[in-house]
Order: sequence, then structure tokens, then C-alpha cells
Amino acid sequence: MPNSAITDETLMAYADGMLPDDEAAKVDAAVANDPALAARVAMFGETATRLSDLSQAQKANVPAGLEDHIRALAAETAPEPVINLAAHRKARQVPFWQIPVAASLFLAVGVAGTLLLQQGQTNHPLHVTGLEQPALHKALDDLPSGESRDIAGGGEVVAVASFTNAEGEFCREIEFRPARGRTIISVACHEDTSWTVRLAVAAATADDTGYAPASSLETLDAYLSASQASAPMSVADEAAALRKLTQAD
Amino acid sequence: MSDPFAEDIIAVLPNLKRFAISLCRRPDLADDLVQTAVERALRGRTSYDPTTRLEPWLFRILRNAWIDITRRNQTRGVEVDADTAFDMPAVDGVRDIEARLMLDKTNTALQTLPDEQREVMILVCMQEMTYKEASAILDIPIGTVMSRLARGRLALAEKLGIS
Repeated sequence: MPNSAITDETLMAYADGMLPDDEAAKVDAAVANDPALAARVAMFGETATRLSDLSQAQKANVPAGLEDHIRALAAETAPEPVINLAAHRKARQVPFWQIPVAASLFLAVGVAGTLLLQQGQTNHPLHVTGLEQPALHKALDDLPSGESRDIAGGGEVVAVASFTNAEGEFCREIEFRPARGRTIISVACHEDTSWTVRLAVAAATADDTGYAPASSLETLDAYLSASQASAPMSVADEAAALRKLTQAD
Repeated sequence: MSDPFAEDIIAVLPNLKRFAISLCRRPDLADDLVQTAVERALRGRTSYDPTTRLEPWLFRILRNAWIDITRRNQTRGVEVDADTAFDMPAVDGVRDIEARLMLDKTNTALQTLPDEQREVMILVCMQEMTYKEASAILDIPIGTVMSRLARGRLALAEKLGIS
């Protein structure tokens, strides 16, 4: 028997169309010359057909309430769409050993105008809170949290989160990472028709990443907690709030 | 807002129900089993790899749920006979008496096979899983899937007089 080497498993896989092309070609040739093998393949094919027919004939009603139950449970178990402040921070923290012992924080709270911060030896005035840069203003208006945008002239702005404060104002936390110098973490709230900076922290950085170190974020956390900031808005809620903003403007 | 994951599960509920019936052989238990399985699936949704097919993943959860239930309750002792295990459409669908008899015969023959053979036959021939998917669902090597499947189908062919 030249074809006795072909196992039932192979013939079955051939009948089921589960063999790789090259193996299937070999079985093709063998079956063509051996009626007994062909009959065996047909037998496997027939069992598949009978079982498939049985499957088609089975009723499979599911209980009436199950679909709603699944939808409700899905809503409950959906991966959290809310922007997680802590997670964002974790991602941008530099390891503690890179934080200078005397990490210097410049804190300005409740300043509406332009604030000049002296930056170490350079004496280079840094306009932190005026948000006079149109790009920063625009980022507050339309940059979704979690995204960053390059700013003409160097640096980038990152939207961290949106929330409402105790007064019900729409506020946003953003980071401004200039091409050179300190990262500025800022909270601005939308008052009447414009943005007012409520907090700005100029974070000392130990390396050239410009990432804000953990200590400055503790300051921010203290501020957020004191101002009774809400939990960060979900992506959808934030988008809706931003839309409302631009329509009102 | 509808959740695509939930809708995908809902779309394959009939298949889950059929698989559940074939495992526990009781339509009433099958409903509970399907519900248990989808609840587990939703709670464990983060473990689903979206690059793979949803159905085999659900089948595996359902089968594991069934194993848990039988371990806990030993319900396997209260199997009912094969005829009531499958709800056959009486009026719509299969009108031809001969065809219906053939289905009954197939069903009866299938029920007499050992569980390990029946299971792979249901997955591959009735639920259209690939050998590989069946191997993942049952947690057995693909070679074992193929040998059980071949033996089961040879036995079925013999019982049904397919030569």
C-alpha cells in the first residue's frame, strides 16, 4: 500500500481544509490514485456536514434580559475613560535620585498678570503666568488632555487634565516645557471669557528632559486638594466643556 | 453610548448557548452557564487580546466556568437524555421529516460518544473553530485535538452508517 503512510488525522485535516497547501497537494495526488483513500476523505467530509446541519438546526434562544444585563455590566467594567492624574504624574516623574537636593520651587498663587521669575544665575525673566503666548492660550482652549503640542519658537505644551474647582469653574492643568529652562506646571481656570492662571510652579530639573520632578507635583497636589478640584474629567466631558468654551467665546 | 465589546459578545450569544448546551446537555443550565461565562468575560475583559478572535476566548471561559460548576455542584449526575438536550425546531426550519430524522440520529449518536471526543467535534464541526483554536480552548495539544476528532468522527460515521 503506497499510501498507508497517510494517517486518518491527515485525511481528516485534508477534508476540513486545514492542511497547508504543500501537504494538501500531496494528499490530492494520493487520493486521486486511491479510491479507498478518497472514500475515507468523503467519510470525514460527511461527518462534518451532518454535524454542521445539526448545529444549524439547534435553536439557541438566550434569555430575554441577558443582552441588557451584558450592556449594563459592560458599562460597569469598561476600562476607566477618566484621565488619571496620578498616572499622568507617575509617567512624567523623574527618578528621585535625579532630583536635586534643593529642588527649588517658585510658587505663584492667584496671580492674574505677568509674573517674572528669576531663573538662577541667568537672570533671564520667564513669563510664566500671563499666558500671553497665544500658543499657550490656544492649548488651554483646545488641546485634549494627555496630548502635547509643539510651540513655535521651541518647547512644547502638554495638557494634563481638566477639572472643575469648588466655584464650579472649568480649570485645566497644563505643563509648559520651554526649549530651554524650567518646566512650568500651571493651573488655569476659565473666568468669564478668559483664562486666569491660579497656580504656576516652576520646577527645577536635574536633566535635560524638562520633566517636572515629584516634589513640585506635591505642591500642585496640595493646591488641587485645597481648591477642592474635582476628579479629572473624562475625555468626553472635557471635549464637551471645550466645545462650549469656544462657542461662548 | 454602546460598548463595542458588549455588542460583540451579544452577537455570539447563540453560539455560546449552543456550546453551553452541548457541555451541560440541559437548556436551563445552559442559560445560567452562558450568563456566568459572559459575566466572567466582562470582568476579565482586560485579559482579552483584541488581535485574536473573541469567540474562542469566550468559549474557553465558558468551558472553564462549566468545569468549576461541575466541580462544585457535581451537576454532571443530573444529565437528561439526549432528545431534550437539543431544542429542535418543530415547525420552522426543518420541515422535511427525513431530514429531521437524520438530525435526531446524528444528535443521538453524538451524545453516545465519550465527552473528550464530543467536545472537539462540537468545537470544530459545529462551532467552526480551527484545530488550533480548539487546542487553546481545551488546553490540550493540537495533535490531541486531531486524534480525538478523527476517532470521534470515525465512531460517528460507523453509528450513522456512513461508509
